[in-house]
Amino acid sequence: MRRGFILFLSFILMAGCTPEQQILEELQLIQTIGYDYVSDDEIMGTGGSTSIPPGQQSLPTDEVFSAIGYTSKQIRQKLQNESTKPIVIGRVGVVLFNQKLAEKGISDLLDNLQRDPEIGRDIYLALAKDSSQKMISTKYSSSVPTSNYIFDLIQQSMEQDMPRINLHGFLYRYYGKGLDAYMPILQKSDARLKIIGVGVFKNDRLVQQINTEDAYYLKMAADKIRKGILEVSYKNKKLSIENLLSKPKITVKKRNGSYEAELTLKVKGRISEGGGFRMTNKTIISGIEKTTRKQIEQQMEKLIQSFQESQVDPIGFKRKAMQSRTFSNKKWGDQYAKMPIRVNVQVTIIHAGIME
Amino acid sequence: MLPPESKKVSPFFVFYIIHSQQIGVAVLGFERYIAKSAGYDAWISVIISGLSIAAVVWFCYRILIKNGNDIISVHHQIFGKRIGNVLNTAFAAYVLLLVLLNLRTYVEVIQVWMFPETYHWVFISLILLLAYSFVSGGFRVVTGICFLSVIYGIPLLFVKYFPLKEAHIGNLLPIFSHSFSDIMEATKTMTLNYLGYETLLIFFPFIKDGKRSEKWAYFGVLASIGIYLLTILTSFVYFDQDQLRTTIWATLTLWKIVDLIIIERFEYIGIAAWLFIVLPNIALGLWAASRAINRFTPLTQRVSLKGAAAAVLICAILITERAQIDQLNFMANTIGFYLAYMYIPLIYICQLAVHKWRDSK
Repeated sequence: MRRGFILFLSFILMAGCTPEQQILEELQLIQTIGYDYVSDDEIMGTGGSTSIPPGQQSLPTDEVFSAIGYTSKQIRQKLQNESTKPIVIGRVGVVLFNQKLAEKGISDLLDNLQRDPEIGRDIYLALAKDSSQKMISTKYSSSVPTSNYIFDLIQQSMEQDMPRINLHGFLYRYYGKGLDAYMPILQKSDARLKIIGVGVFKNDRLVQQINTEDAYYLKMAADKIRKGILEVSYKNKKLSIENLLSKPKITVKKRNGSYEAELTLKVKGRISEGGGFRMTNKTIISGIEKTTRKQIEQQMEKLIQSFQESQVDPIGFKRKAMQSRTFSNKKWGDQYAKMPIRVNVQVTIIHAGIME
Repeated sequence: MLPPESKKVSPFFVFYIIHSQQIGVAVLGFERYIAKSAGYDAWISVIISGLSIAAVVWFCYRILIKNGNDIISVHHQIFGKRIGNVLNTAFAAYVLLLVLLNLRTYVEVIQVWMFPETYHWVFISLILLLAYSFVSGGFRVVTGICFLSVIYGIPLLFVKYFPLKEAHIGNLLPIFSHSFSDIMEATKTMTLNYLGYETLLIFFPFIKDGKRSEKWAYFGVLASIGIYLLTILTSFVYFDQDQLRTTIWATLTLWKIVDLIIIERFEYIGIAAWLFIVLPNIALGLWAASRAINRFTPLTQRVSLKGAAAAVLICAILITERAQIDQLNFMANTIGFYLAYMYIPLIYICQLAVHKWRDSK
């Protein structure tokens, strides 16, 4: 009798425990979000979603919604008014920020992204050179929906030649003292989308843009690289080194109150395009190693100098310095722009492919 | 009034009971509270606090072995019936406070992360009903839940692999960059997470050959230190200090990075699995409170259990805001702190004195 009563009671309670039902086909799954600058207070939000129309062998179609508002939640409400199905943002993969907006600062939008429990942390952030709305509403491929296209493009390039960063990594660098955040820059040219470099942030503002070549050097300084490609010119011939393994190490020293830093890179790889040299010759191999070393050192030093000039530190020299007991924030701030930062590269060519 | 032999459990179960009591809903978000005062050095506090709790458990065993029964009879022995019963009531209320804290915090997590539209009383009633049905099965059933909770918790530890892949070990440097008083402050805050071992003071007579269970209790505390240490070190190498300060549930947030083929968002699995971690805290707490009330009042344990469950239900429903939950945490922490480091050693000294005095008579 009592058991029956408890069972009855739990059924009644269960009935109250049904939140709004969510059926996949009846949701508007937003996969890409774009934010554009409208005026100093207002922003335009764009949501790109993909829906598969009923019927066999029907191709997925893209749907894009845009609205202007003061906060991203207000925009979401306005977007809802355009859609026949409830908008859900649990599957967002990429968030795009318009360049002009990023120069003004994106802290409010970041706050919204990390406050929402629906948003994952392994999603990508990227800058849109022009309008992110246009970027989301263009169709780039006949078989792949735009949202997936943008996601795959970023994911692929971060595997290969762009510094790896997702929402968590960005927030880590954004909050972290002694580190500055960055994100890739996308540009639409006609019906193509490509990554044209990396934007470096100071706090929540975009302050510096570097091209893809420099971005690769930033990747070498910030990530552990497993498979990379590097092009070097040796005796006026272009060679390329593949399967590049590289690992950065930062050391910071303080001598008589003045800081100096050193970035050590250990690079290993194999030559994939020989340029007509005999690769069994030891002097040639060591010659290539030396040229590669010089090239990386020069490029890297130039890049670091440009960071010092714009007072950003995406590589994290300050972070490393802070891990010492004697760190002084003021001294570092005064010295950073003119601090000597040496780059020290060790190159080893493992082999040169399957032919001599 | 000692329990019959058929209702007792083997000494090694004390490991599971103590360990499952100490691991609760707090694991999901304790990092930020202790990192507030000691920053990246807070992991030292986790160790200090855990070891000091092991010392408190030593005091508990000395008191219980000498008395042979539970805290109720210790109170009666030292302070007499009247004052003893006041203390007994306070103790039962404190155990219920811990139950309330676990229940309400867990329901808050469900509400914020999974079902923001559902009323909190729905989850509160469901979980309490479940816990009630376990407790009405008696102490052996509750012990079983504690055992299962430890087993079910193990897979969740493997999930730490994903954040550790992106770890920044350098975060922990330089070690000892905070002052001793900062670390002690964090140690005090950490006490809350180790609470729950006090139920030992009630269930001790239910252990077969109670003396032999002592080492299992220490192993239980050590295992809890291990879990908390692993959790906090993972969060520290994964998050930045300032990022951690703004993250209410650090462990839950780092589940967001888990990348499994068939599961897009691991938090939902994690929160659901966490019910089994929270359930023994609620069940054993309810059992201990009802047993305590039953020991010093003429009520049967069934009646006292219903009363205790109803009290928790009403209090849990009345708490509606984050700030109130925070306040509740703070209150439990303060009471638990003084109970562990002042009251239990005090009882030990009083008991020694009473025995000396009796012997001399």
